[in-house]
Amino acid sequence: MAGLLYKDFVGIKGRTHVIVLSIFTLVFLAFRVLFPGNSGEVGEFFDYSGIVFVPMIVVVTIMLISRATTMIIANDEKHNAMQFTKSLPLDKNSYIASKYIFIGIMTYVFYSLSCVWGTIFISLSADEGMSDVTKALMGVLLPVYGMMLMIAAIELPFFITFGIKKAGIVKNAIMEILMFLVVGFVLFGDLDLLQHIDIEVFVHFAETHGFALIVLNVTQPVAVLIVYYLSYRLTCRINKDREVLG
Amino acid sequence: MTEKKTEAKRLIIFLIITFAITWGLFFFPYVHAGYIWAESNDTSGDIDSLVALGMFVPTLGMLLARYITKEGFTVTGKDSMMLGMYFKDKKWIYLLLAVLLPYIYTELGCVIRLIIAPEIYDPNNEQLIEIIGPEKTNILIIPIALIISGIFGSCTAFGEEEGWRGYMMPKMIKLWGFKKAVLIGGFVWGMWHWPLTYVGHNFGTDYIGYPFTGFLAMSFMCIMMGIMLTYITVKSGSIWPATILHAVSNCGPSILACLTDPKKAAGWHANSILTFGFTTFPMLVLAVFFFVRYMKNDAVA
Repeated sequence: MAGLLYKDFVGIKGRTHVIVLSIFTLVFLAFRVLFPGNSGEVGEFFDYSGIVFVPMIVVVTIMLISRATTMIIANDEKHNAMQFTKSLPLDKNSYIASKYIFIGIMTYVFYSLSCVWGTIFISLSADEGMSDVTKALMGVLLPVYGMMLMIAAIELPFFITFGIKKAGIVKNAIMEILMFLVVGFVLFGDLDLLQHIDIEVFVHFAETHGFALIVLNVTQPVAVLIVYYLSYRLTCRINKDREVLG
Repeated sequence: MTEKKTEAKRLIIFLIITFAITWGLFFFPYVHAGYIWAESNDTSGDIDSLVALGMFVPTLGMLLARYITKEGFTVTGKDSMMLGMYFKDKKWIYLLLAVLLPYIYTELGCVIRLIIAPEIYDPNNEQLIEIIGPEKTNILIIPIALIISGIFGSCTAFGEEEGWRGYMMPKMIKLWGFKKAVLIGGFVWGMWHWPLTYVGHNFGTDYIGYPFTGFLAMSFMCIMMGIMLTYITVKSGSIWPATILHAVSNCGPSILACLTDPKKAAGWHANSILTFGFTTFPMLVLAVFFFVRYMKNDAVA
């Protein structure tokens, strides 16, 4: 298993990513030490770097996870690694498991990295207001990365079973249909429907069901992991009797 | 140079780097500024975060020590960073223990605390009502929620564990054997916390013999926890069970803790050092159990 994971790590140029992200993190740390912002009093500039840099690293890492999901399969297709792995004396589900574990590890590492960036920002900030905003942003990190894992849980069965090319076409087609639906609704739909959405209802719900939201926030990652595992089992079942994947 | 001398050299380099950076940059500024950690929950998030950042320094120390001494950065296997995770040969049990043990000793500690100081029992405290609402059964979710958030937010605990259990303890075990290693290693780990103990992070500042009894209590607690953490690290061959145990332990999952208000403690019950001995008794029992178990079954092997 370690070998399969290392193969994927090399395939996405993992070493380069580790070095670049480590340097960026150290630069950000130095930046925060040199420019910790200010107290945000009248006449002073507010310190907005928290709401710029922390989401920036979140967006970058999410893009990397999304790209990695495609790359690890594409690399295998290119080098016939699937066929080679099948010929090795490995458990027949090892190959599929390695893909799921790799994306899982990557998501955990990038989630942790985003937390580190948030922690660096807050710990070295002189502006309490911006610290609070960043703390609120950090609160949504787990659901955001959970969503990435959910997307991977949907994509991986298709990528592994049908290959990158075919699954890519289907993925793009679905995305385009969704886009057309949105554009179509904006152009020809009844936009008055949107006016009936009352944000205060949501705010009121959040105020009266605070504990339910806490429970939802905590159980969401567990639910995502269960779906991720079921996705893995499904992929194994679909590919059970296939001689060679892809 | 013999293998033992090399290991000792690596250990010393790791400790110098870790202590210098953590004490110099993260902990001593508070001591120097005369900062006192608030005993209530209104501690500044910025200071919490700076301490959280300091928790990554042992891993940084480990990486620098490995780089300086050309030890390499092997991910799994012998003399590695122990980043693998193993489930075969019933090794999944250590992950389960990592999740459950903190709940067991925290809850039992609260039971003992309530027995010796029943006046702190307050099922209607405002903070609790604010979190769970009027439905009292919601309280059962709290330890589960804390355990889950501990597991997912384990990156700071990883920062410590990768350095202490992933690097320092294997070196100490090689040099002195398990028995001496867990005692010395636990003491060193406790000593690393001393600046925080001094500013009242662990026991406040209003206790008998401040700060020296606090230093001793912190070292004692770290020896106990260190035994459990080292045991599951050695047995599982992975740093992850220890990371999860540490992270969940930091969250303090307990139902009874929610039903108490420590501010209501009167007399000697309010003295954190005096009650410390009672509340950590379950942890002591578990530590002794793991220590004896290791010495009996694994020490010779």
